[in-house]
This record gives sequence, C-alpha cells and structure tokens, in this order.
Amino acid sequence: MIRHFTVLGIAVLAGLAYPHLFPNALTIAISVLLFAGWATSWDILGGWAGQLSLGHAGFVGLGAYFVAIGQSDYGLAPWWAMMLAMIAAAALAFAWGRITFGLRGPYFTLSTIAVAEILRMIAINEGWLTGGATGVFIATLPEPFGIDLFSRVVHFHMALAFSVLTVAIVIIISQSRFGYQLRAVREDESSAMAAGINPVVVKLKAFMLSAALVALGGGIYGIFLSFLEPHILFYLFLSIQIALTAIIGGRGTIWGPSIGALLLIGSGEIFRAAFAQANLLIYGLLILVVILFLPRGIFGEIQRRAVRRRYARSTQG
Amino acid sequence: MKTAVVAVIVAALGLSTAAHADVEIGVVNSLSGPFAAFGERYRTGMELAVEEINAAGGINGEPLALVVQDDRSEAQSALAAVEQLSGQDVPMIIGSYASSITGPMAQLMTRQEIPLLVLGSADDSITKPGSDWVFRAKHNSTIVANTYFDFFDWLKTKEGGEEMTTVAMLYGNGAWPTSLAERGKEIAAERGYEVVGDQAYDQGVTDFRPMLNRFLSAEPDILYIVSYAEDGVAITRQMREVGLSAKVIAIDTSAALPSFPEQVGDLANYVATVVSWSKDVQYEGALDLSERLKAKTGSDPSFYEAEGYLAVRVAADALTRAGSTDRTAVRDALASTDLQTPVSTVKFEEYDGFKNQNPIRSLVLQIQDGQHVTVFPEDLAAAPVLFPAPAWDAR
Repeated sequence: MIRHFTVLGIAVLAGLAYPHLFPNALTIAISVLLFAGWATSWDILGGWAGQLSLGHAGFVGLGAYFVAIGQSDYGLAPWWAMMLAMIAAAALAFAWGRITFGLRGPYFTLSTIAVAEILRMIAINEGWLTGGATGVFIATLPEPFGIDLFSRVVHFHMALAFSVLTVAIVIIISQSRFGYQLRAVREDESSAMAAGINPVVVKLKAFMLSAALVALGGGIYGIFLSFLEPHILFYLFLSIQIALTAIIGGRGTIWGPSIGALLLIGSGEIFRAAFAQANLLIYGLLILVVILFLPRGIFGEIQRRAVRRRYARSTQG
Repeated sequence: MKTAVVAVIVAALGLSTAAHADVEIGVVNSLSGPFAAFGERYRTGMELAVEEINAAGGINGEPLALVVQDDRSEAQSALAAVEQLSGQDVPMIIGSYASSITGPMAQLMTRQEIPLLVLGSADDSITKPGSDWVFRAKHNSTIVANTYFDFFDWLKTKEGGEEMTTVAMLYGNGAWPTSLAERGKEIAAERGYEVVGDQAYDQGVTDFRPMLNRFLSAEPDILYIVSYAEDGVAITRQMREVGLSAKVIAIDTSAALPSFPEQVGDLANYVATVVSWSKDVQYEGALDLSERLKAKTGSDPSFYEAEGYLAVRVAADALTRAGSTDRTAVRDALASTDLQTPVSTVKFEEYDGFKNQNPIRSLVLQIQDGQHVTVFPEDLAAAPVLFPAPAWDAR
C-alpha cells in the first residue's frame, strides 16, 4: 500500500510539472486523465466486482448535465452541482442494482446499455429539463478565489485531482475488507455467500461508488467541453471506450485502467496527428494486438509475470 | 571580403525565404470517423479554393496553405487539434462539420481569442448569442426554416396558387432535425399555419408507416420532413405505400444529396429541399465553380464542397485585407467582410440575436425528372416550380 502511494505521489508530482513542460498539449492530457479516472472508477465495479457495465456513459452525461443545467438554469455553482450529480448517480445505481443484481451472467450488462439509453432519450426528449436534442451551452461560470474555470490549466488540475482521487480510493479498497469481499464475489458468488458475504450488498456498494465517481468526472468533462449534446454524452461508444480502457489496461488492478488510458487515448492522439485517415484503423489494430497477446490487459499481464517470477525464485531458493 | 559576400547572400536568402513563407490557415475537419464522408467533400472544396487563390497570386503575393488536422469526428480531438494549431501560430482556424464538435471549439477559441470560421455546422447556437471571434458564412436553422416558409408563402401567391393552411412535421431527434423542426413550428405559428401533425423519431427507426398513417387522416397541405440520408429514402418510399401525399413535400438534408433521386427513383419528383448552393443557381461563376469541382472529383458537386470553397475564400479575403497574421487584425478584417463569391455574398452581421452571421440566401431545389433544379427564390431560379404535387396514383 505504501509502495502504491509512493508511485501515486510521483505521478502527482509529474502531473503538477506537466503544464509547465508542455503548455501546448493540455487538451490531450485532460482527456487521458479523465479517461484514467473513469476507467479506474468503472473498474471498481467492472474489474474488482466483476460486473461488466456498458452504461457508464450515462453517469458521465449525468455529471455533465447537472453542471451545465445547474449553471445555466439555476445559477448553481459547479462544485454543488457535481455533488448533487454524485448523489443522483449513486441513487440511480442503487435503484438499478437492486433490480438487476439478482440476475447473473450477461443480463446485468444488457441492462446497463438499456439504462444509459433511457437517460439519453430523456436528455433528447425532455427539452424543458435538458435543452433537448440541440444541447446546452455553459456560457458563464463563477470564479472561486479568482480562478478562471474556463482555463485549460484549471481543467487540467481538476482532471488530475479526479484521477488521483479514484486511484487513491482503489488503493485503499484493494487492501481493505471491502476489497476482499469484492474479489470473493467476483470469483464465486456462492462461495462468497457461504463465507457470510451478501453479494448483492457488496455489488451495490461497488456500483454506487463507481457511479458517483464517474459522475464527478462527468462534471469536469462538462466544464471542459462547455457545450453538451446528448448524442455525444450518452453515447454507447463512450461507455465502450471507458470499459475498453480498463480492460486493455488490466481489469481488477490498481494501475491497469490508468495505463490503458495513457495508451489508448495517448496513442489515439498520436495516430490522429501522424496517420490522418488511417488513424482509426491503426487504433483498432492496437486493441486487437493487446487482446490477442495480453489477454489480462497490459498491467494485468505484467503483474502476473512478476508474481510467477517471484514464486519461481522462492521455490528455487 | 569573401565572408562578407557570403553573409550578404545568406541574408538575402534568409530574407527571400521569409518573404515567401506561406500564409497558413488552420483547418479542423472530420477526415475519419462517422462524418468522414462529409469531411471529404469539404476538403475538396477547400483545396479548390486554395488552388484558385494561389493561381491568382496568393495572399498579398504570398502563397496560401492549409494546415489540416483531423478531428476523428469527435469534440475532444477537435479541441486537441485547436490547441496544436494555436501553438503553430495560425492566424485563424476553419472548422468543423458537426455542431457537437464546432460548439466546444467555438467556446475554446473565444476564450483563447483565435478567430473561428465555421465550416459546416448549422446549429443556431453557434452564432446565437455568438462571440466576437466566431464567424459563419453559411446558413443556420433559422435561415433554412424561414426559407421553407417563404417558399410556401410564395407558392400560395402564385397564379392559380392553392390555399395552404396545414403542415405536418416528421423529423429525427438529432440536433439538426430537431432545431429545424422547432424553428419551423415557431414560424408556422407566426405565419398562420396550423401544425396538424408533429412526429419525432429516434435515429435508427426504419418503419415510418405508423407515423405516416397518422398524418393521413389530418390531410396536411404541406409535409415538412427533416431526415438524414437513409431515413428520407425510407420515408419517401413508405409515403407512396400508405398513399400519403400533399401539395408540397419538403424533405430537408436527405433529399439534397445527389444520391437521393437515384435511390427513390420517380418518387423523388416534386420533392423540395433547401440548400445554400446549387450548381444551377444564377450567381456569377456558379456554373464555372461547379465544373471545376466536378473535374476535381469526377462526380456532381453538392453544397458541401461549395461551403468548403466558401470558407477558404472568406478566410483568404480577410487575410488579404488584414495584411498581417495578427489574430486581432484578422478578426477585425473578418468582421468587415463584404465579399462576392460564386457561392454567396458574404457580410457578417448582427441581427435577431445572431452575431457575426452571414444572412446567406438559401435556395429551394425541387427534384424534376430526377434532377435537382433551383426553383426559388424567383430571381435565382433555373426553372419554374411544379405545383401542386399530384396524388401518387395520379402521377
């Protein structure tokens, strides 16, 4: 745990230095950090609890819309809006989990797609609430302590704080009683029950935490875009991207989702600049290669090899 | 002595290269991802304009060049592209196609004080309320909706014109169809039309018969339909199936594509659609532009190529008048644009809540014998309008 926090500390220092070193590449860094945070949050449910969700874009949209609508219609400062969004996301996850966690296998995954779609339909059709299909603009934002919330550097620090928070939470969970419960449920629900764990409660907790954190990141994303359209924010593709980031990086590991974000979003940007039209093709090939040769994800595979090597050494020695 | 000569030559070379440095315009365009088909068309138009401008001497004697960045049809990449272009000190940026991409770009560029010339986005919200740094030479939802209703009004006044009072609307729930339908409803109310049918559908629906059947009993005089490509084709075919017709059938977006008459055949006749430009419009140089575009791609050009061409012409004009690549100077030059092109006249104005919006004249095309023909406004028309559309079994 101390080792992980040391790494996290180094990452924070590197992050703080970044805007000074690369002041002209902030947008891409913000994208990487947001995806790292989203994928890490997704992984609490998807990796540690083993419940594959393809509806997390719904929480991103929820966070972004709370901030935008709160600001434009109710004059609500974004930090309050984000808190409300987190509560709303957790409440939604609770209701949704209560209904679907009785199901096993792919049914939960299917239900996640449906719920995100329902949110998208609400955002499109309930124009009085959400600005409808044409979306909503964030025109003004308050300036706490003279900080301009439209500034890219501020967005960067918010995204950095968000991703660091999610990783720190996962580090703590990984060593906690809750973390062991999650893994027990993931491996075998019946055995977990025999050990006195209520799988539904454990999964619900993981889902609510995961949802609230993703909504927080969604709020930052809303400020970052400052122009929201339901087709973008509740898009199934965004849900898949979040899940894919965690899976490629390594499900159920502390650093996997962050590494996945660095690789997928970072390489996406490099390919965009370098290969013009072919960029999506190369991006797809990269994903294919990782899935074929590193089925546990990049960090998952590294971790497994390290463990095996340590074991081999201990048996020899 | 020798070194002095060398130094002079080097200095002269240095000066001459400095004098011939290209004037660069940043472009953010959707070249990969779901909007790539449109991005490709915009690119053709933009490249043609650059060739034309450079053949005519460039920008105050210096060649014009585009620094193109792909946005992968998504907002985040577009924002990263803007940042990268900004770091390369481009005086202005042209971009992009979808409003969901151009919207965040406009927000960012207003903050960073970089002039943005909108390439393809038509959503009202980009120039309403707008900003000092965002300019749009092409149309928006309000202009297009107004053009439809001007056309309907005009048909009523035509000799032997028929009274038309009722409109039925069918549209997808995407950003563009929705905003066009909403503006349409407002204008219909202002001008005394009664909306007797109002149906939005989710993108991906393929069976429109239940909605069309509902319109059947309302017997609307006008059908006002806003649909993307495949939807419009399906709707037209299914209208024939259920026997729904009207005096005017207007289908936006879908019916404007060159492929539409090919896909629906004879059923396409009488369908009207609004565009910002057409190859037969009676503007000076329009036919010539159309031929040059056709020579470049080998296929009939659409208004997408024309809009790409228009954007670069406007940018080049502003850069020429600004006489520098200073962003504020370029912004001021854009604001005082007064330009005539084969696509449209351009003048950025403040009106009805819009800012830096060119009040471009839109055209109504009608499909006659499988061809798109400009029929309205009268002074730009290439052929008289066919009105009213006969019932399906009377054709």
